[in-house]
Amino acid sequence: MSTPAAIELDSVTVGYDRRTVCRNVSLQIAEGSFTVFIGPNGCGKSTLLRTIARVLRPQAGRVTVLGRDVRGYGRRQYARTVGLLPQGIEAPAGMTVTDLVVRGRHPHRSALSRWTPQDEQAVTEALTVTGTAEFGDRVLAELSGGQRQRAWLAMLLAQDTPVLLLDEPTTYLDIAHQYEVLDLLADLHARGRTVVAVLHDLNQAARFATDLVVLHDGSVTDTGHPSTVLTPNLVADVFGLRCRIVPDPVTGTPAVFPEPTRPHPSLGPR
Amino acid sequence: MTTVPPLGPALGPPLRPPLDPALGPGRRTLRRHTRRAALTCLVVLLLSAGLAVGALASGRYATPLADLWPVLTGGGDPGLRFILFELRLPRIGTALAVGAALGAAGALFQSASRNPLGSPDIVGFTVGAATGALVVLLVLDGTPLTPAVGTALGGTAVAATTLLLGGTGQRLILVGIGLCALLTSVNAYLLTRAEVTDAQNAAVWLVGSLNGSGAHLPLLVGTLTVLLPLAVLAARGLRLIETGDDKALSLGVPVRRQRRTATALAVALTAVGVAGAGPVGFIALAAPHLARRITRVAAPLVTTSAVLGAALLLAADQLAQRLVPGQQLPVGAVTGVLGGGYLALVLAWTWRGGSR
Ligand SMILES: Nc1ncnc2c1ncn2[C@@H]1O[C@H](COP(=O)(O)OP(=O)(O)O)[C@@H](O)[C@H]1O
Ligand SMILES: [Mg+2]
Repeated sequence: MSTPAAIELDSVTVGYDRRTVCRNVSLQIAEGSFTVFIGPNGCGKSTLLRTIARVLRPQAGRVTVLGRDVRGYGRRQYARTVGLLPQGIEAPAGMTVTDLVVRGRHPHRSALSRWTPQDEQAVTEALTVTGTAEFGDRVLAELSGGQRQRAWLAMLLAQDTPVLLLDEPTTYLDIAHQYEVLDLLADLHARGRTVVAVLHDLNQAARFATDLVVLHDGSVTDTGHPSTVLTPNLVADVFGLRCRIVPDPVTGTPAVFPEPTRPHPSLGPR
Repeated sequence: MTTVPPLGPALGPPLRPPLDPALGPGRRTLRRHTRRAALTCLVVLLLSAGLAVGALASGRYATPLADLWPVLTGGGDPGLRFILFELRLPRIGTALAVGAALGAAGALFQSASRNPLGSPDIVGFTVGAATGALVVLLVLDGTPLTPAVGTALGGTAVAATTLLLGGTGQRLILVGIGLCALLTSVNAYLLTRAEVTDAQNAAVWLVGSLNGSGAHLPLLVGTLTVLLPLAVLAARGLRLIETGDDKALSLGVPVRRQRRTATALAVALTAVGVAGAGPVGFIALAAPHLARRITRVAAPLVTTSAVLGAALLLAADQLAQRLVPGQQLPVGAVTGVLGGGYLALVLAWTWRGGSR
């Protein structure tokens, strides 16, 4: 371990009410990494991300961020350190893009303080970088899915945190917009942020991640660089899919191609 | 095989100041919102003032404006004095106070429940208020408890029960529906057991009316002076909760606590309104809704909603006094019809025009 851990989970058990989703998870996420969580639906990716974001409280275990127990942070202080883009977030009625991005500054403003040049700077930068400035005065509900997702990203950027958590930031976007979002995240990563994202597309995960975290049934089954982690055996074990893995012709990262499936017996021969 | 992930288009160096914060998009948006809300409040306040003057000058004994001034400044005809100070002014004041309380309560409810149709009814307030009034009128008849106190107590008790059992979100609504169903049958049972005159009397209380109101005006105004500023403060936190619980939590907002505070304040404000005029419907729903439409600001607009609620109830009460010649309708009947129409229009609009 050369780089220090930005996020460290120590025997974390977490779930909802009496139902435990993740049991005894220990995990280290390196500072400055682009870490991608992969795993089948319902395996606990969102649960784990929400736990790191301090939205969910672990039933047992400890979460450490930048060397400090998360329970030791104040609310706003934590919100200045870790930002979250939740999964499937809904646009509040009537809100405009700039409206939303301005709200991202909340943890930097005290109850009575005025809007500062730093606030304005952060908002302008977030709008510019995400390309949302041109429709800043439009209502979220009237935008396309891609534009709306970029608005949420702009809000996250305005929060200006060293650690970014994103839960399925590309879902529901067309392929061009997916890569637009991923490129933006790669840029933020290149500028020194620690990025942790949940992605469903394994090929995209392999392209962009410096580290993969594989989750299955609430446990971490594997971590490491995509080229070592992503193997046909892993995909078969975790996703139940037989596949071949070849180098991505563009980047050389592993790319997953499923084997043909057999028709369902009840359908008879093809 | 180690590969560097491809970078997107270079972002260039971060934008540097000089950036005048007055000119940036953030500042502009914030300022525009403040202006729109303030302007709306001002216009509505002027309208209410006009309405109030009109209400003072008219009634069963029409009063020329020229005769009003001497009375208001301490002189004038004693008979007119009585009509103005004992009848008309308290009624206008009560309408304004109750409207403001319900408008502010609605703004908090809609925002805290993230539901544009959220209102005190969600937590069973109105039905509970009715039960309270019925119990006072029909069961505790002869005790010093007034129906006004009964409605406030009943509504608050039911709302508190719903909130304690239901928490927030989906479960809250289900618990609310359950309790409503239960109490509706209790109410019906109580009415079947009552004398006809008592039942008639109670029926007016169930609709909400300003007839003969005004006795509690100083108490109403006093309570509002405390509750409204608290409501404005509570709304600041709700502004962020509107982006979703997870998002708000990750922005450092104590979501549960703020939602609980806002809901408690909304219940208290509703109780004040209901104690003043009975469970007048639709003001709590329509005022915040209108406030958002007029200002086009997506935030819980407590002040604007309170001002709008006051104007709406005053206008509705004036209508109620005039609509049927020689008869005073309960104001709740008018707000019910107007509010119902408004709701139908808005829903039709929303479905036709997509999400907005
Ligand atoms: N709010 C909740 N209350 C109860 N159970 C939940 C809640 N959210 C998720 N779960 C359950 O926890 C499990 C893991 O969910 P989640 O972390 O969302 O999975 P993933 O993001 O990997 O698809 C699922 O079985 C899901 O049904
Ligand atoms: Mg998920």
